[in-house]
This record gives sequence, C-alpha cells and structure tokens, in this order.
Amino acid sequence: MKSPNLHLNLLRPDEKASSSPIRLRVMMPILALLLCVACLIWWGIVFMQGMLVNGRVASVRSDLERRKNAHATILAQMADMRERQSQLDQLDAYKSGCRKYGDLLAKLAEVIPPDVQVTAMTIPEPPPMVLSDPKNPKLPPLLGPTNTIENVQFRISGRTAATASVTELMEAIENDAFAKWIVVDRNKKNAAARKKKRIHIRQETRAGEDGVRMLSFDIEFRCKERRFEK
Amino acid sequence: MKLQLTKDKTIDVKMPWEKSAAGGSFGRRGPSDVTGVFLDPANPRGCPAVRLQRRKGTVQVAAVGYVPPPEGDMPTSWDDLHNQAKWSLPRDFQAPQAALAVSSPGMFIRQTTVDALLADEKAEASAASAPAKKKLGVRRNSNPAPAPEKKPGKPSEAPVPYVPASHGGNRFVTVPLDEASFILQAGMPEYQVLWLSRLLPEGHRPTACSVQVEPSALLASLLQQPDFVAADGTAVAVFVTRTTIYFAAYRKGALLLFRECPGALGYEVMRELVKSGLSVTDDLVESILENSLIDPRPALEPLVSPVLQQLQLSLDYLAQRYDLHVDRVFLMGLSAGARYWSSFAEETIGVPFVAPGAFDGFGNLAKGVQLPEDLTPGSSQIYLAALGAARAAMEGHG
Repeated sequence: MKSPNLHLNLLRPDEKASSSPIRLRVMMPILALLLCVACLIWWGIVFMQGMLVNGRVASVRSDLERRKNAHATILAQMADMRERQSQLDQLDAYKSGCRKYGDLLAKLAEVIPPDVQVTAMTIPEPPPMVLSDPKNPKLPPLLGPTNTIENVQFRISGRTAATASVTELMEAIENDAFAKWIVVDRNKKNAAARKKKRIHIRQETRAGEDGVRMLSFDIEFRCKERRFEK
Repeated sequence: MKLQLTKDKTIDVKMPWEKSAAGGSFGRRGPSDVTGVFLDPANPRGCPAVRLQRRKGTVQVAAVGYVPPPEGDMPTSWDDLHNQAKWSLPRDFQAPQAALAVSSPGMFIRQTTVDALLADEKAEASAASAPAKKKLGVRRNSNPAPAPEKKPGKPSEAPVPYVPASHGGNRFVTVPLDEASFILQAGMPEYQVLWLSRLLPEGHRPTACSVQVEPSALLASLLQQPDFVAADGTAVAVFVTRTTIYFAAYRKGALLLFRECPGALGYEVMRELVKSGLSVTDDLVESILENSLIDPRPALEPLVSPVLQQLQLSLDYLAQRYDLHVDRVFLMGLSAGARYWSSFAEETIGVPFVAPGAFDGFGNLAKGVQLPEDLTPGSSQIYLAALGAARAAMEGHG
C-alpha cells in the first residue's frame, strides 16, 4: 500500500503558532536585549577598571615625581657610602699589610757576633710594576696596582774579619726565633747553592789601621709577604 | 540537506530524512500528538473532537468527546475578521497541535486537472482585469481592514502540490491524485482561514497546525480501517455528510478519484424524508432507522436511488479506466440506516455497503482512556471528520 497523500492543509507554515508558553519570537528579542545589556555592563566594568588603573598610574607617576629629589639624594648618599666604605677597606688592607720590625731588631742585637759590624739593614723597595700601556709607554698608566701581595726582602750589610761570623749570623737569623718575620726554605736540596746566592762577600781594597783588610758582606732574607687584604 | 528553488521563488529546504513525494514515500512526518476538531456549528452538543497519539509506531486514541464551540462565529466577510474569537479546549484535548476540520458555505473541493485549473484562473484573471480599468480615478473609502482586491495573479503558473496558495480571495491547496493528470483541489475563503489560524491562541495548547475542509478531512478517516488495510488500500468509499455525499476511490492507499455526488443531499435531508414520510417526530427517526419494525425503505428510496445510480457510474468508470473492481463499498458518516442503504445497493448495483465504526482499527487505546459509553459504530460517525483531520495531520505533508 502506498503512503497516503490526503493532507490538504490550508494553513501556511508562517501561520502555524507554537503552543509552547516560551515563544521564540518573544524570547529572542528579550534574550538579545539581555545580551546587549550584559555586554554594556561588561564594557562598563572594563571601562571603570581602566579608569581606576589610569588613576593609579597617574598617582604613582606623581608620587615618583615627588620622590625624585629624595631618591637622587639617597643615590648620592649611597655612592658616597660606597666610596667611604672602599676607603675604609683600603685602610684596612693597608693596616693588614703593615709589618713591625722593632722586635726583629731587638732580637737581632742578641745574635750578631762580636766581630761583625753591621753597617746597614734595609728593606728595599719592591720593583715598580709596569702599569703603562706597552704600545704607548709615554702615556700615563691606565690602571692602578691590582696585586694585593707584595714580596719583601730584608738585607743586612756589614763588615767582618772572617766569613765564619757571617755564616754564623745568617744561621742565627734563620733560626726559629725569627720565624715570625723571616721565611726559610728548609728544603735541603741545593741548600748550599741557595745559601751562596744570598750571601755576597767581597774583600775591601783598603787595609785598616792595624793593616788587616776587612770583608764586606750582604745577606738577603726573604720576609713574609705583605698582604693588603682585610 | 537539499536546497531547491521552487516555482514561487522561495527556497525549499529538504532535510536528509525527508523523501520526495515523487519518490512514492510520504515525506515529512507530522506531529505525534494531535487533536482533531470538527467545527460543526449545527451540532447542539458541541464540536466533536478526537485526540490521537503516535506511540511506538502505532496510532492510539487518547481522548474522544465533544468540546464547547468557540464563542464567536466564523466570519462570512472580511469585515467580520475583526471579531476574532479565542478558543481553548478542555484539558484532555490539550495536545500540542490541533487539526481543524471545517464545514463552511464558502468551502470547495473538486477533482480537476492542472490544465483546467490554469484555464479557470486565466478566465478569472481576464474577467477581473476588465472592470479594474473602469475604477481608475475613483477614490475608495478608507477601511481599517480592507478586503484584498481580487488580483489577476499569475494564471500561467501551476499550483505546487501541498503548498497553500491564495487566488481570487480564496485559499486553496492541491494534491496530486494517483493518476498523474488529475489533482484534488480544496479551499475556502481566505478570511476564514485567517480567522481559524488565530482561533487557538499562541502559547497555549493546542495551536492549529492544520485547517482542512470537511470532505478532505473525511478522506483520511478510512486509513485505519481493518478492511481498508486488508484490501491493501484499494477501496471505494461513500462519505455522507450533513448536506452532501462524496465518492472516493483509493488504489493501494493513494486517492484515485474524488467526486461530489451530483443532486444528492446529506443525511439531514434523509432524516427529513423519514420524518415526513413516516410522520414521526425527530427523536424517533434514529430508532426507526436502527431498530424498528417499521420499514423506512420507501422513505429512503428517493434519496438513495440517485446516489446509487451515480455510484454505479463511478464504479463503471473505475472498472473501465483503471480495471479496479471492488466487492464492497465503505459507507462512512451515516449514523443510522446503513443497513437499508446496503440492501438498496445490493439490489441495485450488486455490491453491498459496509459501515464500520469510525474507531475500528484503533485496537488499543492510550492508557487511562475510555471511549464514551454510548459510542456505537453509528454514533461514532459524528467523529469522522475530527478523526480524519487528526489522522491526516499526523501523516504530515504541510
């Protein structure tokens, strides 16, 4: 059996109404209106938030402007403080680098043999550092000294009649009593060569009143280095 | 989804599940819960109403009864359209959708051809254009709801099946019959359709999904009949209404022929004939036609004989043209006296009438539904138009 085709409906589709109490043609404009209102409220909130943020930015800017002088003062004070602190550090470094040789001289008097005449005791200046640019040596140096350790030597010059006294003096100074100031290489290897290297003895050309020709000597010791550190 | 430009320059959107009518299938399905109402102002008990529901593929009766008629009268002119009535149905009949069957003086239904329809429209167009020229320069009085002038329209365009169209102040719709050249056209005045479309207010159950003229609504009332289904939809039916008698022939479920019996009047006249012929009062007519020892055949004969003659012509036509033979004819719409009609028919044309109850075929009722106690096969015929309207709406197409 074919499907029947007997519905002769005179109603047009646009004349058919919905029985639902929620009418789409009523609800749609309401929903659209609500959507518009919601959008407006949202935009209002966003606008208000933007205004608040702008106000805060302006107040922060004015606050920054107001504190600019105080800030500059603080920055200057901080720079001054850093400068002073570096000066203090420098002084502390110098303080730690200070060596006192009074006790050394007092003890030295006790160990000098009677036939030895000390003519000079020097602590020579360290060799100057090369600070100028090697390419333009005439220009003033660009850098200051950067090393914080300075090697120190102690030289005793004198006269004697016999070399044995000199050796005796040197050994006395290399004793533990002078360990506070003098650094002694205890390595026995090449000890004799090192000893020879540090003692310089020479015959004086003119004889004395008694007609004896004296020996001049120089002994060099390596002292503990100066450390310019805090 | 298929988009198609129709002849009236609108876009027809067809979803994948909608099959074309040309393909033999029925296309879009209608609502599954419909109340059919027959607006019958002549019935003192009210308007017959039937609520049908489709459950699990079967159509069930959910409510049957009379509903109070709307308070306003159906308009008889454009001016009456202002008096728009609002109607609400009792709770049992508050389905989402309603199909209204209407019997009005201005309605029409006819079997015709597309060519004849176009020729008629062309003639009307030429007739309408002639007096229009004379009206030039005449100022018409202002009217709050002026009746639309009868426009010549476009007579060269063929009507689109199942699509309501307006022409000459009427709203009409056509459906193709089983033979390609024939169509069935039904219509009624435009203002009446507008009034009916607004009768059931929006936002309340039910709202109108279909407006059908009474004869077209009757056509679908046969679909559920067991004998009709058993005959694979091939049948001839006689529909007796209050004032008119119609013949309809179906071939495999599709409508093949529809005609109004010329010169025949409906059961109202039959009752008058019985009343006057047998000299009885109104309340006795029904019992005489059903259970009486008095033979009403002499009184019925003047009415039934011409009907049977016309039916014989139709049967001969069907047999010759379509080789369609039937061994019985459905007699629908007659509340009493069907057996006398059948005996007349058997004697005259050799084919008996069968007059089944309107609700035959609706085997199971919806839960909690009880048919009226006085519902007999005869009395159920009063619901035939309402039932057919709802049944047709459930089948879809428009």
